[in-house]
Amino acid sequence: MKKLSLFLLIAFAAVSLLAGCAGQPKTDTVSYALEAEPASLDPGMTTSLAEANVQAELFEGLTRLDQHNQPQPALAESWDISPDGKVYTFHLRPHLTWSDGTPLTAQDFEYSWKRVVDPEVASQNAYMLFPIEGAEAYNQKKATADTVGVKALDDQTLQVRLKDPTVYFLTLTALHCYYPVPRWLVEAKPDTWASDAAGLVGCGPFVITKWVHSSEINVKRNPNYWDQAHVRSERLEFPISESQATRLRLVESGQANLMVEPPPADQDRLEALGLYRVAPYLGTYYYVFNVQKKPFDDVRIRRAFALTMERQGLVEHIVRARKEAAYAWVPPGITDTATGKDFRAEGGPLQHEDAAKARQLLQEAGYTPETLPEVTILFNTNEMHKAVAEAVQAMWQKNLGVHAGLTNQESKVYLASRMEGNFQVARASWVADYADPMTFLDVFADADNDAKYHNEDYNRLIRQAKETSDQAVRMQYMHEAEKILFDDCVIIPIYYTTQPYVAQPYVKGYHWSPLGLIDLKEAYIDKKGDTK
Amino acid sequence: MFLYLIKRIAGVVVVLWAVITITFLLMHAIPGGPFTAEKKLPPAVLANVEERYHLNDPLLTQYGDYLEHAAVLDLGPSFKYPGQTVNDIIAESMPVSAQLGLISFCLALSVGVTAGVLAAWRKNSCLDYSLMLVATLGVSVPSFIIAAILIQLFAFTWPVLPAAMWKGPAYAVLPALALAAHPTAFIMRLTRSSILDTLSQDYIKTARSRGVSTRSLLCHHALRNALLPVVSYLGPLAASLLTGSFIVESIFAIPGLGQHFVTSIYNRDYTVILGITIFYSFLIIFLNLLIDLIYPLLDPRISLKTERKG
Repeated sequence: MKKLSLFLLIAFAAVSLLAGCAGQPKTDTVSYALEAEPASLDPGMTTSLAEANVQAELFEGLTRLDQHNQPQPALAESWDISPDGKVYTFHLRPHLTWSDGTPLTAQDFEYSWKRVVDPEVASQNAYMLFPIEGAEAYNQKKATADTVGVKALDDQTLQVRLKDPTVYFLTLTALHCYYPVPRWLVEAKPDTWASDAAGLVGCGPFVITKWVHSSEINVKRNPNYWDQAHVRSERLEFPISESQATRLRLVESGQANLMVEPPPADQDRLEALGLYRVAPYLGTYYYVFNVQKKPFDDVRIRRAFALTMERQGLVEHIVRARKEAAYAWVPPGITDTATGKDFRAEGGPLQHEDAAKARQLLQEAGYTPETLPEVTILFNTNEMHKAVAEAVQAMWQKNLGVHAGLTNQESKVYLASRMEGNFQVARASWVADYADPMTFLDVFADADNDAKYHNEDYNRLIRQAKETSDQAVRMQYMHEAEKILFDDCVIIPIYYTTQPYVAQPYVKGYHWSPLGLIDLKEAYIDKKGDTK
Repeated sequence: MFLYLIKRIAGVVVVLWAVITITFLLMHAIPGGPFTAEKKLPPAVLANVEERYHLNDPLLTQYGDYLEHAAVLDLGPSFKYPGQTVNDIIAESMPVSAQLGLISFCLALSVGVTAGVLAAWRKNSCLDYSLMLVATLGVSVPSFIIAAILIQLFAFTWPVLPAAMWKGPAYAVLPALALAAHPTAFIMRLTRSSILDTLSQDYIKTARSRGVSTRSLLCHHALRNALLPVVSYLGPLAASLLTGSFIVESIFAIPGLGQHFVTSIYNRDYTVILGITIFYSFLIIFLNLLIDLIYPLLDPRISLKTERKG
């Protein structure tokens, strides 16, 4: 028995020592707790933020977004835009190379972009390149690759022809699906070239050194990167965990410096510690009506339900995370390219709260709370969505006298119900693909949208906005379209989203894009600063 | 013995086929597919993706294709992780779960049996009561609470061990304890009650009347018989510990197989769901067979041939 306890004591001491060594904070390494195992690191194929966060350090596009979300020259040194806004000519930096030293040319871009829209490759990102002339037709197998409007004029010049004058095209070229990929690797191992650290070649500020699936990714500085001067960290580490609580523990125990989406229950404690931060994130959380299902096929009923919302209380007490009550569809934070002002500030609120008017509308539509068909809210199983649905249920009960039922379904079951129109009113959220109002307004111009909403006037305005090269007119069309959406009361916006995250105070130099991405290119640990 | 083995192995094939079929039908019956997402893909893009993965083939064709490949142990590519096959995923994550599981298994078995014997030996003593109190807690407190308490104590209050990740021996301590708590407690109780049961049997009473000491009675006469129920519990326990626990792996960010059981269903990653189900079924069947072969060694009254007589 004595021997055993002695053995245990020694074992424990050894383990403690080991752990002590492992826990030393590194001053040349920034560590970001990644929210999911990347499906792959192939920038043309993957769709979620976790992958894009890592890809942004391993690859780079023609442009890169700065901390004000403006596209800056990256692999392209400069560009010319034709007067009609439809032809972009990019001039690549001289002597660009891949991380293994192979020259990187305009032909690499042509190959990579055509690959994303190749129907055989079947990338889920294909639609992100549809602004390019001929890309959609090629993806739908109606045309060949030669008709796609991207062409390398020489090693350093890339010409892109667009379908419509897409004013935000330079922000698109900063997205992962527009990154170049190493052709020789992709052709040798089309499915697996970006599924392991071994042999993975990129063109970004860092190169991958280690990838233990579902556990960690490590990268180190890329000596062949063109912009060495701005890379301040020798290494980046991405410990991986899907659990919010685990990621938070990694940061609090010093194993990581940054994490996104801390558990809501920890908000107060983290705020008191000064670790809780919130970055802007272009997204809207809303309830969508199925405009073809009774009783919501009547716009007066839809409006009555929308008017009874009480967003302030909901946002302050239930949703929290410094979200902002939403009274329109396009969130604040998107610049009107004609005036330089905020699109939302110019458009103003488009939905109001007025319980008396709501009851009156219900009456006008010929209903009393008793005669109204049964109403059910659909949402996916999740604590937060449930809390919001219960609050909405209570508001409708109080302000309208209507009792709504609640149905929660497992995430993909719910998505299937929503897409098939098997609901009356459902929770939904939309985050921007790019920083322009169109990424939001386009949703309800889709013939197959969740609301089953079709309005020719709306669709015409969206089409015209896409076709015009006059920015003032384009913005005007989009404001008008958004107004129609609320005249028809297709949705109840609830809040504009934010990106809550936790950061140790000694990490500096990173910035968040309002598209939900973190850029760690210039991140570093400030040794002189606060170390605890 | 040989005939018995042949019979059992034939049974395995039938059971695995049934498992594949039922799982295949069930997973395709749930709405939503691998490419259903909050951002709906344009129909043409989705069609390309489904074509690439043969998801637009008739279900029967998909089923036939799957069986054909599964027969030669090719479990197909993952839909969620396009560069990895299900074989890769199992080969990479299984050893991690197995390492952790093996530590927990040894811990549970050694501590559980020792404490159970001690409790039975000092029946109704202070030691017995305190051990049983610990056992009751171990059985009833869920592993995520035990994990949270361990992390709070050893990673924050007294920061000697890492709170998560899987990078070396120190990283295995807390998850192994969290994982072992329940089976340890269960084996402790099982051993104690089984020994007490055996001690009340006639042959023990006879031995006792001949003046055999309690200690010798326990170690030489009672323990071997008393361990049979524990041994039957070890088969399923080994299978579940070796393949990992979703909860413990998720809390400690361990890249094991356990997480794939759950996430593959959320992701509708059909091939991973099927592959892991087959693998787990096989492991359970194999371990149960192993336990059945061990029984006669422990208790000569059990014979593999008995079923032929009946």
